[in-house]
Amino acid sequence: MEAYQKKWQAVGLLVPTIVAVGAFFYWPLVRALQLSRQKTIGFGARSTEYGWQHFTTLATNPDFQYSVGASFAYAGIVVSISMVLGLLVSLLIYRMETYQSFYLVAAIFTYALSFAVTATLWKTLFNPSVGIFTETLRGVLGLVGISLNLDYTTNPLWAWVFVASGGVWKLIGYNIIFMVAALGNIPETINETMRLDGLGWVKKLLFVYVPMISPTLAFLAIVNTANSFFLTYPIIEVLQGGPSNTVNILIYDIYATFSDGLIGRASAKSIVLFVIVGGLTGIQLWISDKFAHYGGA
Amino acid sequence: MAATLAGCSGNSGSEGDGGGSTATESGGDDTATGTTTGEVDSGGTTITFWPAWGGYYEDTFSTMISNFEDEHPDITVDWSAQGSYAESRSAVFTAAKAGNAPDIAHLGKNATILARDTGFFTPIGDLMPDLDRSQYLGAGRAWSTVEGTTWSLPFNNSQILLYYNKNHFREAGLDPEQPPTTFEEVRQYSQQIVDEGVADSGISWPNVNWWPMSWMAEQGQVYFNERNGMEGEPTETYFDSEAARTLYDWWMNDLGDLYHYPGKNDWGASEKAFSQGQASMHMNSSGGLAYLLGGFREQGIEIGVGRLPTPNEEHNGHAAGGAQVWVTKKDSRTDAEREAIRKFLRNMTGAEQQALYSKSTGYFPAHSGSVDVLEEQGFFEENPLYRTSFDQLEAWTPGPATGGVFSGTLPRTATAVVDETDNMWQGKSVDDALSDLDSTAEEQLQFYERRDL
Repeated sequence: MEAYQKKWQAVGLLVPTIVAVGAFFYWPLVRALQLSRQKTIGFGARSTEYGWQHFTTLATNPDFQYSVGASFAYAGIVVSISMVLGLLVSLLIYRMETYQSFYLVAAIFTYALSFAVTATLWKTLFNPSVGIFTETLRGVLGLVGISLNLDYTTNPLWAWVFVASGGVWKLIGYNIIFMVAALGNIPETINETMRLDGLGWVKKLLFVYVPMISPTLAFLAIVNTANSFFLTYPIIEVLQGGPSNTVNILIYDIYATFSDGLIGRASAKSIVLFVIVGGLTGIQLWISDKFAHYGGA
Repeated sequence: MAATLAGCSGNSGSEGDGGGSTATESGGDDTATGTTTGEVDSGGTTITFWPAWGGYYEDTFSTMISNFEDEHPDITVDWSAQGSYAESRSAVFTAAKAGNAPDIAHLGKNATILARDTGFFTPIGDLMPDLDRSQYLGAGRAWSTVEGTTWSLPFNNSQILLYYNKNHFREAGLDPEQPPTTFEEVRQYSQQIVDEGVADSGISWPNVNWWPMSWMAEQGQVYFNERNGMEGEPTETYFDSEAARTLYDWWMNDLGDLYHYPGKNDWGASEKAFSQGQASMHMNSSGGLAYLLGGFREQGIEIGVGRLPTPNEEHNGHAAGGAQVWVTKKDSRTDAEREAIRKFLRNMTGAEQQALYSKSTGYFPAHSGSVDVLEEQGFFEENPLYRTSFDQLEAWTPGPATGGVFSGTLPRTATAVVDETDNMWQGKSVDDALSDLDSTAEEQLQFYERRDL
C-alpha cells in the first residue's frame, strides 16, 4: 500500500522538520560563514569585510594548530576509553540475572546530568588542596612513597586527567544505554550455542558480541566523536584552558574568542570545527558501512 | 543582514544617527515603543535598567531602586540583573544591535572604550550638560571621560585591599595590627608564616589583570601610550617596562612558592585558600568587603584589612575597578523619558544612595558626599575595617597611570596578561613572557583599528 496517497500530504508532514532544521541548523551555518569573513568588535556591534584573512591567520597560528591537535587527542582519549569501559560495564549488566535495571540506572544516570553540573562536581572533587579525590589519591600514593603534583592549575598532565575523566564519566552512561540494548537483542540461541561450545568470555566478547553489536558500536563511535568535539567546554572553563593553555581544545578556544567579542574570528574557528567534525563523521560512516555487521548474508 | 553591516562601516564618527545597523534594524521596534509610551504619558514613565550584578548584590539594587521609585512615584524602573560584567557586556551589546537595549546599562570599566566604539551609547555629557562632575570622587570619576567627552557616570568603584588572618599573624609571631605595606614586607611576612608552620603559603590572590594593572599604576607606569589612551587611540604597550619587570620579578621570583597560585581568573579558589587556612593573607576587591567579611567571620577567622602593598613606601593609588552607568541611544525617546533617566542617574549616583550601596557592599561611593553621610551615621565606628579602604582612597593622586586605561582592546589585553602570568608561573622566564605579552598586546591594538570600523 502506498504510504501517502498524495504528494502534498508528504510535503505537509515534512514542512515542520524542514523549517526547524533550516532555522536552527542551516541558517546559523550560513550566518557563521558570512561572519567568518568579517572583522568585528563588541559582539558584532561594528564590522568590516575581512575576506578570508581569519582563515589564513589561523592556518599559520601555532596556538590554533595546538588547539586543533588537542581536540583530536581529547576526542581520541575520551571516545576510546568510554567505549571500552562502557562495553565492559554493559557486559556485566547484561549478565546480571537479578536487579538488572537497578545496575543499569546506576550506570547510566551520569548521562542525565548536564556538563555544567559535571564541571562543578569535578572542580570540587579535584580541588588541588581540599578535594576529596585529590586528598584520597595523595594519601594512597603517600603510603607507597609516591608524591605527585595533583594540582590542575600547574600540572598539565593532571589537567588533562581532569578534563578527560569528566568527559568519559559524562559519556559512558550514554554508551551503556545503547550497548545493553544491543546486547539484549542477541538471540538466545547464540548464547546457548556458545555455552555448549564452552567459549571463554574473552572469545565470546571479541568474536561474537562485538561483531553482533557492531552497528551500535559504529553509531556510538560517530556520536561520541561529535560529542567530544562539541560539548565539553564547561569542564575546560573551570581550568580556563589549563596551565599554559595546554587543554585549550577547539570548542573552548571558540568560546573564549567569542567571549572576547570577536564574533568574526570565533565564526571562522567554528567553521574549521564544523569541517573537521563533518569530515570525521563522513570517514566513520564510510568505514562502518564496510565493516559493521547489519545482519543478512 | 551582512549587507547592512557592511553598509554601516563607513559612518563611525557621527554622533546623532545611532550607527547604521542600529537604526536600520531597530526602526520598527523603537517606533512601537515610542507610540505606546506616548499614549500612557499621563500614567507615568517607564525606564529600563540592567545592573551587571545579580546574586549577592541584587538585594542592594532592589532597595536602591525602590528608594528611587518612592521618591518619584511617576517613574517606574523596569530592571533585570545580568550576572557579571562579561554577561552584561554581551547582553547589552547584543540587545542594542537587535534594537532592544535597556535605557541604562551598567558596564565594567574595562569595557569603556569598547562601549564607546560600538556607537550604541549617548554621551552623558550631552544628556546632562549642566551636571557638576566635581561632586564625584576623583578615583571613581576617572574612567568616565575620554578625549574630552563624558560618556558615563561612575556607579560602583573598588580598589584592591589586603585581607589577613590575625590568628595566623599571632601564631607566626607577627603584629596582628601591622599588615605588610611593601613588596619586601609581604615576602618577609610570608616567609615567617611558612617557616613557623602556620600555613602552607603566605599569601594568595587571583591571577587577574587588575593586579598587574594596579601595580603598574602605583609605580606611575601606563599600560598604553597616548597617556593610557586618554588622548587618542593607543598604538604601543609597556609590558616590557621596568615597572612590569619589578612587579613580576617579585611575584614570580622573590615570592615564588610563598604565593599560593589559585589558577587563571579564579577568585573563588583564592578566597578558599585563605578561608581554609592554606594562606594567611589574601588580596581581593573592596567591592567584596561586606560579603567576604561575613563569610570569613562565619569560618571563625579574625580578619584584618590593609592597603594594597606596593613596590616601595609610595602609594599613588591605582585605577579603580568597578563599573559605570551608560545611556543607550534611542531616537524615539520622549522628553519625559529623557528627564526620567536624568533623575534616575542623579539619584542613583547621589550621596545618599551611594552611601547605601557602599556600606552594603564595600564598593567605595561614587559621590564625595557619601563619606559624610557614612560618618554621620557612625558607620566607621561600628565597622572600622571599612576605614582602610577610604584611607587608601585619599592617597589616590590623579595622573595618566591612575586615571583609567583607555583601549578598546582592554578586555582582550586582560586575557593576554592572565595567560602570560600563568605561563610565568608554569616556568617561562619573566623577560620572555613580558616581551611576548608586549607583542601580543600590540598586535591586538593593530587588529582593533577602531577608525577602520
